[in-house]
Amino acid sequence: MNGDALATRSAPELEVGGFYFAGDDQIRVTSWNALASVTVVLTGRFVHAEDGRIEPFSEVHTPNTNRTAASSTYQRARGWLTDLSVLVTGATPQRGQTFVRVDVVRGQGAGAIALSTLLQGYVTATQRLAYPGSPIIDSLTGPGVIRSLTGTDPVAASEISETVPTGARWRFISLRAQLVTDATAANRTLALVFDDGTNSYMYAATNFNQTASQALNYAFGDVGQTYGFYLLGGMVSAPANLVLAAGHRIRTVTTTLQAGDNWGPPQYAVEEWLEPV
Amino acid sequence: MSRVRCKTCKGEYDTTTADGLPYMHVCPPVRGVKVRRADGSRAIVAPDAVLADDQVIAEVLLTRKQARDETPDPTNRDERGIPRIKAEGRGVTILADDVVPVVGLPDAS
Repeated sequence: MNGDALATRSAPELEVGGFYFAGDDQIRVTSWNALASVTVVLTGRFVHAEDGRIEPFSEVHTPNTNRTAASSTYQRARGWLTDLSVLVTGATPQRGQTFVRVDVVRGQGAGAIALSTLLQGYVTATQRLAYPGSPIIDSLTGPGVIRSLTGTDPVAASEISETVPTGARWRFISLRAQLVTDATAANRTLALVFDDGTNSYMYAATNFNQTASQALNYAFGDVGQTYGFYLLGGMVSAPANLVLAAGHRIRTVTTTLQAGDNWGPPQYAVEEWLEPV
Repeated sequence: MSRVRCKTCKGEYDTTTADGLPYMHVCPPVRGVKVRRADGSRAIVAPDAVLADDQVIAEVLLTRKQARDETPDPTNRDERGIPRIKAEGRGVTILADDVVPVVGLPDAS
């Protein structure tokens, strides 16, 4: 509230609780979202300073689906925002897939000045954010969404390489893939390597060989000990709780990979959070 | 959802993952090995082209020519304000749209 409003409004309005809007303030919703068909809906009530009228309102915001920011701004008259809720319709994102921040701003576009943040946190179709009431939470706090992804099936003689998308943070859980070797006599050993897009900082290597004309399955995860199964493949111990930033990669490195050796598509599990950029 | 093949690395992938999120393909790097040759010169060669008298110095990763990178670039947005992908590379070939045919499984829906 500012002093002008206190000086001019009538006695009943002094009883109105809420966030004061001076007439040139706006509500801005910014979202980061990874799921298609998500619509963010803001609902609330606004008390007009001019006549004390209580206006229920509903605004619709469409997020991007590639984890990048999308913003919408809604003009408000002079008065008080008494309550506000944010929910999702159109899809059923899980916690970790749709992150919303609601600010009060003054001005337009990139030049707008954020005066205050009313809400910030993950929202789903069943879990709302509400002003007043909801705490301001950053996107990396709490559990993310558990995802199981099928990666790119590389062409023969190529390695697996999966990249953490822009705007995401992953915790590696496990990866499974099959390597089919051609008839060339050679001992292939392999490792799952984690790098920052340039330099590797961790790897999990097998301790046995794959020879010619074999189709072996490899599973990398927090199994404690690496061991192989004759003619089947192996379980390879990989670090638990390895957190990967955007641009980091999970990839295989296979020694003596032959022209006809072929990795299948990796299936891997990660915990994902949105990391606004 | 489509099944596509990257024209740069020839890798195949679905454009949407099973949980409904877009899959963002990035071409894998090309692996090379930096070696010191018997005559003292240095070279970066394919891992299977290391000669018997080469001394291996290090593994190197090289960015693939015209690599495709489908992760979004927040600094490069289209007219609707949606970030474009970082690099088109040579593009993709669509292998199948929407449906993966089920063959030889009469009881499958």
